[in-house]
Amino acid sequence: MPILLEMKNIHKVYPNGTAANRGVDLTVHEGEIHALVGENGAGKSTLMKILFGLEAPTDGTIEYKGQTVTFDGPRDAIKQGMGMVHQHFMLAPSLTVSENIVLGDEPKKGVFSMFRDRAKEFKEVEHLISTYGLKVNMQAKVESIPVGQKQRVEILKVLYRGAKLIILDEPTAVLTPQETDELFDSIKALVSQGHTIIFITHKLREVMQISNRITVLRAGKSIATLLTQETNQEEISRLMVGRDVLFRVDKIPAEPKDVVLAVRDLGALDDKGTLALKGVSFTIRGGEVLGIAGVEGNGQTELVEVITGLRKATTGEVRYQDKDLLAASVAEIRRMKVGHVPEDRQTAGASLTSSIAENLILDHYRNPDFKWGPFINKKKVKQFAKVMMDTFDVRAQNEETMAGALSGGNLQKVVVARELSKNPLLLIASQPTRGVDIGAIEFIHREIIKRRDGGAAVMVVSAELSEVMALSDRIIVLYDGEIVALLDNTPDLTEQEIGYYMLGIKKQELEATR
Amino acid sequence: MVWQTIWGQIVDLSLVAVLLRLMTPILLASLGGLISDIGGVINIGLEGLMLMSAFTSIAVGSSTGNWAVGVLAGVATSVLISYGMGFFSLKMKVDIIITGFAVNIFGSGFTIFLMSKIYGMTGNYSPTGAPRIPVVNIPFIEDIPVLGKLLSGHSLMVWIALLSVAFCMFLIYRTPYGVHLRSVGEAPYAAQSLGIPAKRIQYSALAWSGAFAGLAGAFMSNGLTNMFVKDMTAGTGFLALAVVLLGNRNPIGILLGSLIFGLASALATIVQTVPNSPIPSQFIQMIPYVVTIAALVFFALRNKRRLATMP
Repeated sequence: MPILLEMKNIHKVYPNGTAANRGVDLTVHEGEIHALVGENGAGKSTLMKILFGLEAPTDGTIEYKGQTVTFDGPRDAIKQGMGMVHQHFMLAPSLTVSENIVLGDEPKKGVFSMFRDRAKEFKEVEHLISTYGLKVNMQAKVESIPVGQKQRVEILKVLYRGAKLIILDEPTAVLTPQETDELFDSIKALVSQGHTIIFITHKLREVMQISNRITVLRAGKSIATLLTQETNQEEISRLMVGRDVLFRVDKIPAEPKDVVLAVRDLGALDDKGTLALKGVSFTIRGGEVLGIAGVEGNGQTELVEVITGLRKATTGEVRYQDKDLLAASVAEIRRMKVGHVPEDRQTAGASLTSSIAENLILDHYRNPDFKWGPFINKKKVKQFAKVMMDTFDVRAQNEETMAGALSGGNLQKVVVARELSKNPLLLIASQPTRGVDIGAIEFIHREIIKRRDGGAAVMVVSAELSEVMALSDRIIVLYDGEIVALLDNTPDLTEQEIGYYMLGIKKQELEATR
Repeated sequence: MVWQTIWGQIVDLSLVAVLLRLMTPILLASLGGLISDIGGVINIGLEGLMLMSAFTSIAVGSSTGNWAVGVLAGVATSVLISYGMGFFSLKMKVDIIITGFAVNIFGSGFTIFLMSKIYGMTGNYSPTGAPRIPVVNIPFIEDIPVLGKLLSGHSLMVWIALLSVAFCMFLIYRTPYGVHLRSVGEAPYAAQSLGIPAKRIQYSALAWSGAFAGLAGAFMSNGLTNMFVKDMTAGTGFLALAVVLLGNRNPIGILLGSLIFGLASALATIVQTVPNSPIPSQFIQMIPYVVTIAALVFFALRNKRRLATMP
């Protein structure tokens, strides 16, 4: 296949001295699916910004269709037939699907082309939708369609502008497994129609599943370009991280002790007032990890919020040792050695405008150890923060760095450090490694298992089935607010098996108590 | 006595005339607020813009003897100040709310300052023989009993305000500019990533709001009354912002919202004219503002319910 794009020896040094790219080569052939992998901060985004003309490279050349090019901005890149689907959707929610697709390039009519030609707009969008089989209701408002369809709108947007080379930036981060499969079907369809795809991700399983070739970035350099069929996940992750990575969490068999948490017949409403939990019962013993599997939005969020005191229950009871958690306030629950890693670290897990040190003492600041009369003892806080940052490998300039300036992985380590530093007897970890890179995932998983071995009861909620399976001793599957399966995590339990329960195809007959 | 008077005005349709007149400044200002809000640069400074325009309009109008020149001067002043708001908020990155407040304080203070410096007046300035925005009498129709009173004899500005509703509908929903405006207000990065000049669009949104606030202000001094009184807008600019929310951020909703406020103001005006009214006039003057609070509470409750019933 002929070469479509060649980026040679790209360097990018920012004025503050940060070197984001330090010699990257990327060669993309026409009609291939080229995966660009690397940990957070490896320089993927910078490279794509340079390709798109959002940043000027300090050094290096870009050849596109055999010609050296320099882009002055996304407009130029778009004109040359490139399109980018951003990780965070660039859509206007109250506009319709078709309005979003043609935005900025609307078909016009009338005097001085003053008016929108909506008939032509609908015809062109309709044509695009049917050509590429990206099914979506073009008259619906974007705010009312599911995430998977929003992504199709993004893809249609770049296709409408005639993109031949399409860059997908972590497209599966927000998708359910089913939506991911649909996306992959669309990608294959695009390639068969002559498009070329650059697929940015750090999910290696997806890389193996969809790509033809892989370029690995590490610390701003391109480390290797591999043919997918000649490599495997272990090799790629070694190249990404720079050392061997354990995919299986090493753990000894659990030694369950007394029941720590007993949930009985729990019911709760979601934000819209519909019943999201319909009588859920389970127990967790000290020294075991209970995994909660399920497609997102089947009651996991509500379950975690009720147990941690953030949401009111409508029925049932939650007993923690001998206390009634439903009657306790959030502060009281936190004082009972309950650790909670919230699913969204940006809004619930950390205060982005506070420093790392402040975030680390967010729920210990009343502790007399950190106080000096009515004031906070800054010195002690600083010491504590330094120790925590060391233990949990938080990479930042110092403890005064704003939490908002940290990468996702580092911020998550701060949250996990805070929650583990009080030696919880019950740890509730919701999406503990979402958007976190491989090295940090391994670390967080090890820490969670360490607590289990120390006798804590752990509940892990994750949208990543592989994570639930790696960590849990027992797994319950939530579907539509009910527990549809309780499974022992034996080696012969497969993802397919759990998948059937997650989709509601299979259902166990469960006794209320176990 | 009070009810009889109101009923009498309803029957002889003069209530409609009063209502339309009092609705016009609110409607125009709300449309201005709407466009700025849709563009993501909500213009809190409508009140100050209206005052500046009201003063300029009557000053220029009376000195040239031409109402149209006066109105144009008022609108131009208002648009110019809006551009200034854009300079401070879009270029110098001052929060748009703060800029808006600054304009309100400036508008109130500066008009009083000019009035005392130029005309030596401190409370109000009422030039004799200042030209008014003309009244449109429609031939033939004005002689038809009911229809004549309904359609004929209104100020030109009333018609301009009503036509502006249609104009805004068209501008916002039927032109590429309108789609760009909406996208810039809601997802500025998305708009920019597609090459839409977000800043320029926001400047223009402010300019539109200035133009409409200018028309509203000019009408208050050159149509509704024939003078400039200090702080004569009396919160109309803020009522207009409430109407933007109440009208669900679309021109038709805003027309309905303005009608409600127009009605409240009209009732207040009529009741005030009743001799020996048992109700203290201060209470009557409260009506439009009480309606504002009631309407916003209603709006909030309705939104909450709708959120609860969403699928």
